[in-house]
Amino acid sequence: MAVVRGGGIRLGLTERLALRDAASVTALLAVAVWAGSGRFAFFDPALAGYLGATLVAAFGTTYRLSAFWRRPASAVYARALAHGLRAPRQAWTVVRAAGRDLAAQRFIARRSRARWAAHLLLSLGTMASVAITVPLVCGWMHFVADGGAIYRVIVFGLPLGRFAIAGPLGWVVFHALALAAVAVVAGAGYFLALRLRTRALPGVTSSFHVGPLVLLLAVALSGLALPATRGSATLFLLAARLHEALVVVLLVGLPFSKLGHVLVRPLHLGAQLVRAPGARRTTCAGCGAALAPVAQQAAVERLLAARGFRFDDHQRHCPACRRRLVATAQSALLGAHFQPRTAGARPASPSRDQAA
Amino acid sequence: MIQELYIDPNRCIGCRACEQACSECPGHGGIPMIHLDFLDRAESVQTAPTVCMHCEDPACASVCPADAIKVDAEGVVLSAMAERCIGCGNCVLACPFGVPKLDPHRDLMMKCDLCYDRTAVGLRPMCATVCPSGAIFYGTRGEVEDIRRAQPLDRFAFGAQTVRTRNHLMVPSPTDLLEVTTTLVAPRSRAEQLLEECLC
Repeated sequence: MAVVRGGGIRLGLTERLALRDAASVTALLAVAVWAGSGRFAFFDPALAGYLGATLVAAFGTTYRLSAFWRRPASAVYARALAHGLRAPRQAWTVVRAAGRDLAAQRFIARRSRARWAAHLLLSLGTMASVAITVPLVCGWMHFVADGGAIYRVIVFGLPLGRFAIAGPLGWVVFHALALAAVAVVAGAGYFLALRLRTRALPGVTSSFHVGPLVLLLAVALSGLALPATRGSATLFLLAARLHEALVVVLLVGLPFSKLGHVLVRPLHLGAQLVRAPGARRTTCAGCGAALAPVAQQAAVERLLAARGFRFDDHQRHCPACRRRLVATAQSALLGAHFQPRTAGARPASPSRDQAA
Repeated sequence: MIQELYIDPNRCIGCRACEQACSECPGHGGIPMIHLDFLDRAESVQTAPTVCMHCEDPACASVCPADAIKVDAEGVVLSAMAERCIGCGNCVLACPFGVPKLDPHRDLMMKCDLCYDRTAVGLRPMCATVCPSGAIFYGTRGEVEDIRRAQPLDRFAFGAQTVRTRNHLMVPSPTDLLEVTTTLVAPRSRAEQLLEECLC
């Protein structure tokens, strides 16, 4: 935590490490731009604004990711994920889970199919746009005309392939960004309509939820305006400047806006490893019901202790027993005595020997 | 005046109207966020409703790896943000009142958020609206003190930890702190003893 002392700011260990990570990644990216663009030979100066915003976004995103994953509660699952990726048996489980939950986002389908479809359009459209534009902005990829009908693709100075401008691949290359923008418009439009339809609910239409949707929608629409305004130099310039400004705002604000939740989702994979079906489980001290994986129970107890919570034995009870214990304590004040146990978990009867 | 929930398990008749009403809320897909437990079903019909007590320093939020559980300006501990919650269940293990529910199918934690959408516009929470016996009362402290002899309590001791809450539990006499011990086991009833004698 950053502490202000004597007019200066003293950073905590987490902030210092996060700053180190962010500075390293940004420096590496700058070097990669310099080297990958042939010492700026293939860098397009018209894209300088985008490059600046990309570097700022790299710094902010790495800082946020590093600091967030170092939080004690998050670090438990971050470590589990790192351990899983190193263990050959678990690595395949992690890869499958990443495909299911991060790429296909199936967990959203279980919450709502319509939201899943919209979120898939929004996220895949955004990621496709980033994947297409970042190599172009950084000068890592450019096209060279080979005659009048063929383009050669050069990546990091190496020829990667060629395609006919008028062919199907050429059509996809020239329209990929537009297709991605259409997907973003559909996804963001759905969520925006959903939020405006339920605007009676407090908080639903707050700037935190609506702002990023409006921004994504504006970026996608201004991007689509670029080919549409090609016939007019003034309009095209206006659309280009507007699009650039919107993208810069989006990139700079990315790690600290609602869109930053993409940095949290990978922890889901770590949680799945900790809560794997075969994991050894603790049992409730009250009723004997299965409570939680041993590792998770221990981690939660450590986290609570670090925060100064001292629940002692109460922590070893299942939620149902905890509720009964509270109600039983209240009833005891009235002179009522209940046994706070769950059904089917009676204490063991005394054996004949004990009874004797 | 701040309006809060006042829970009196001794007035609960186990009708489950609160569960039905809670499940009507559109925000949690037909799943009630209120718990209704039998205290000792073999011996008594006594039931107890449990809603989120909205702790001053919520243990659930302090162990959330995704920072998905937020507390609003009025001290209401909100349900996990759906886009952040990773469904790990840390909050379920941490809550001393046993409130949060984990929906493993949707990888989502859910809990009572004091019907935020209703209370923010001056309406009572769904459960308090339908409770026929007054076991769940929503209003100001003055209102509940006017109509009840029982006293509201908002401090609980779990082990060595004292927890202060926004919502209240009604207790029969002025009490500063309710000690929730894990050794509250009553002597076994005659019926249970007879059953054991038959089985042994």
